Amino acid sequence: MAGKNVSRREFLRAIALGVFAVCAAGCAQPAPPQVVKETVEVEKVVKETVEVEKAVKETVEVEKPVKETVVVETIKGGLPVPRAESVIINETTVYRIFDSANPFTPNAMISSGWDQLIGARLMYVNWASGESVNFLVEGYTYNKDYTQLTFKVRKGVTWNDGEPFTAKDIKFTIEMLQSNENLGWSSTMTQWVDSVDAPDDTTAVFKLKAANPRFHWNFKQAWSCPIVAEHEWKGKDPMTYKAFPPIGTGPYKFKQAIPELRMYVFEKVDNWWGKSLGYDPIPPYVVWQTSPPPEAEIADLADNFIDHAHSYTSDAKLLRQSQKLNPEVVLAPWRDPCPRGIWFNCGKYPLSRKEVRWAMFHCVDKKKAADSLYPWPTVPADYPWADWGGNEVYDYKDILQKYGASSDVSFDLKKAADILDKLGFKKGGDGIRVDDKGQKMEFTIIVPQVGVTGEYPIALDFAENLGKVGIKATVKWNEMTVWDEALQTGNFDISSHWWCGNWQEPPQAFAEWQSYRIKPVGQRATAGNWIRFSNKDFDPIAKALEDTAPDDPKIKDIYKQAFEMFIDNMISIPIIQTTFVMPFSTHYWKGWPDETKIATVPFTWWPEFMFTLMNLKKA
Amino acid sequence: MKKISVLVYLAKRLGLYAFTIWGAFTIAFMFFHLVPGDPIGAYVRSMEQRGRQIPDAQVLVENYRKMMGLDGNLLQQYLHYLDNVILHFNLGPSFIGFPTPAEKHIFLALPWTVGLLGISTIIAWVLGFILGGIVGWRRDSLFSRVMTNLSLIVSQIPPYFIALALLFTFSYTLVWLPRRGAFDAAIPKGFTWEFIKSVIRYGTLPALSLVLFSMFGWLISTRSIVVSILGEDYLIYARAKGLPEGRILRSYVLRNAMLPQVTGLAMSLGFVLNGALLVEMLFNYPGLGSLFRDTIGLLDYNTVQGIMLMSIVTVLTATLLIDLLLPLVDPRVARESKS
Repeated sequence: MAGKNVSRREFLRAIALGVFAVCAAGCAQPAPPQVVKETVEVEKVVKETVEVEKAVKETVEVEKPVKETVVVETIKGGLPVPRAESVIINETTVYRIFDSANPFTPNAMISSGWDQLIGARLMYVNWASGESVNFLVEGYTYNKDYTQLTFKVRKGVTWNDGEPFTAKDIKFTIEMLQSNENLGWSSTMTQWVDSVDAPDDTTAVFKLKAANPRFHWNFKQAWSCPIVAEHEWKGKDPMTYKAFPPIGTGPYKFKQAIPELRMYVFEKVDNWWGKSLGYDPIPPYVVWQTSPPPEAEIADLADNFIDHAHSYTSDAKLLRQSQKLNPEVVLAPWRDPCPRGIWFNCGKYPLSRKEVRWAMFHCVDKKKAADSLYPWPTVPADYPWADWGGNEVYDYKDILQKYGASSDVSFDLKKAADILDKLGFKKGGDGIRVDDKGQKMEFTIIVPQVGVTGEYPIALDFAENLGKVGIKATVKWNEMTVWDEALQTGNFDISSHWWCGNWQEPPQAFAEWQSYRIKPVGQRATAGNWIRFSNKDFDPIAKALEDTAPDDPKIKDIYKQAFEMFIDNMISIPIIQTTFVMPFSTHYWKGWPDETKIATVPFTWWPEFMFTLMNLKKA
Repeated sequence: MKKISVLVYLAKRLGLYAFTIWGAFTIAFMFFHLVPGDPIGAYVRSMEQRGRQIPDAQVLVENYRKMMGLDGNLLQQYLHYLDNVILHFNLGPSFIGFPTPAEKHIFLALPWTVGLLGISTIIAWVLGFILGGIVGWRRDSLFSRVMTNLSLIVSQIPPYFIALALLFTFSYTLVWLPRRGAFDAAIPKGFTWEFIKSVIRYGTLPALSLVLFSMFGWLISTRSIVVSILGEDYLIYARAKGLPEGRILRSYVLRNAMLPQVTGLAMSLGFVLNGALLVEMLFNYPGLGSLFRDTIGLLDYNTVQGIMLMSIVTVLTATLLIDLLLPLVDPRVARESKS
């Protein structure tokens, strides 16, 4: 059979035609995902008046199911699960881990649904209401001297593979953590726990190495210590074990991950044990995925492709625009526990002098920061903790007044200049103050690169005001890792960032600044005292804060003394309360927290967001 | 004798190739390790921020450094890394997904980058070369003037801006093409026609933005080469012989213009592995560009170095291949080599 020779031109034409055909076929389909209108049959219960025969005929109202045809808008395509049955949460974190749910090693898929849906904790606090929630346990008790903590484990709790959750899982987890110092939570458990016993399935007894009336907070605070299943982890190397797919006690289980789309899909656990407590989440699926840039994400929320957009949670303009584009969007503004503030390196001259810090304090315009430097309207912060309702008990206005430190009077450049004059810092020819040895007052204010919520403009404004009193300050925006190393090793002057102390008992945060925790510059700080603050009068108060039980009547006085020392020494400057605003679409699901009512934590990255999801109802 | 000289030439080229890879990688390694910052420290700090008191953070930091191959001085780290890569083909654990090996993250992103950027680069080159040839050949026509000016404008617009305009037009206004991602999550992954169609559909907009950007660049450079060829004696001779215009364009003009452009294409293909960061970000495309950005941000040395190594090897391999293949494309090079 004689074959026809194919010329080069024909060959090239054939290739071009083939490529065109493939591309055309690819683009020929309607582009998913799209909003489509579809006709569906729904069953409704209607009231109908019917005649019934009794001794005499009478009409009564009865309920009767009828079928009705309605047109609904839904999203087709783009998701591995039906849109109308899913809650879709975007997060700005770029997800990279799709095969590890080990909560004790770095960067596993923990904040992307595991914390909120799978890894339920022993106890929670509903930070929005202040209410304590016993979850996997029914409660806890201490012995008289706070050296023993006993948890009463809830009966009927099961892992999502059907195995019962017992006190033995608690014992196993703590002993596993103690046996490997590189696991997260290991050092805390090694430092405090002498032994854990599980005499029966519902009792876990912690014998502590020293009295600690606050040890239970390790299992109650936000991101508290997770408990893992003994039947799953036993015999595994906890440093390399990936615990995947994850086994947990939360209301959802892992369904699938699509790494290329940075998407995790979770599905509801059938017959979840939590129903017995009255919790019964309705959405069959929850999808967690990485946000696109804000310009694209706002359009996705406008079209209800997603239920929550995350890339502009403090940008007032985009948030309001979101509502304009989609009237079904509600906004849930809520205080972050961490006010924004200024930190000093108290170990470095001349910032080691409290008077210098006081002079700088008077250069901070808190009102301006609240009104115009933070991207969402907020209020100045007098205290280094959030103005949550529960924190009203820590109100020390008398101390603020005594020291002239309340935010309505604190900004006073003249006062700042007077202090510096008194200290002998004279202005040189270039307008910059120098001390008696000729050392110039020049500082660098570092800001972490993630500081997009006011830290940078606050630092710029602060530097400008310092300049007005003869202090030269330069603002430097650093990568997170660079900024952190500078902070921890003491190689910084001033930092503008957040003030994340102790959420459950805010004045406890002052306990971190005990002198014994100071490390030399160049070495990494230990357990909190990275500002290298040292004051022998403060140490006993800080120690008393640690040692006195929260229910001891003496604690109130100690809190107050500690706050007074904090103000007197001007250890750092809280500037503004921080608000993040969560936009949610109510198109598919209602019950989201909004500006009128925030009953549960609306922050999607917190473990307590689980309770918000459990409040949702079909729209 | 001829065989020996070819072997000597090949050995020299390969030796230089290996030496350049080593040199480039060593500089890149040292450069990344000179960047200030401590990724492990930042991780420990994030644990502390979430309420955990770590009584001896330094010990934890040191232990993780050891696991990541970051203990010892810079030279020790360098030798340890080379030993791992050369003798064990192991890039070490990643930090963004500890303890997943760095190569796993890279190989997950690689096909998408190669698919998107590789195909876009080739399409842009073919279109830019052909159009550039025509525009140069007919340089006084209206079409040529319009295309030249258009190219000058479009080639200066960054690809992400073109991508934004395309996204707004085709995804948000006309709703013809998907907004982002690499494929439709509703279609199970696999070697099926449905899935392939979905990949093409989702890749169209990012690819188009890259094609438009680089196509006009190729057009301008090809036009310049063609215009410089137009005055050559051999073209006057070809015309004098009465050869048809099409043949002169194909066999005399474009063939001569092809040589520098093929070298340029090879270099561009080598740079494909660097990814197109902003376009990938805009379309949430799972390529190497965004992996590089994330790992740099976290100072995940093992993954960053893996990407760098791959990029260096690809660029240099492409250059080597062009060096070796050039005599086949241009007989003059072969003659020069022989002489």
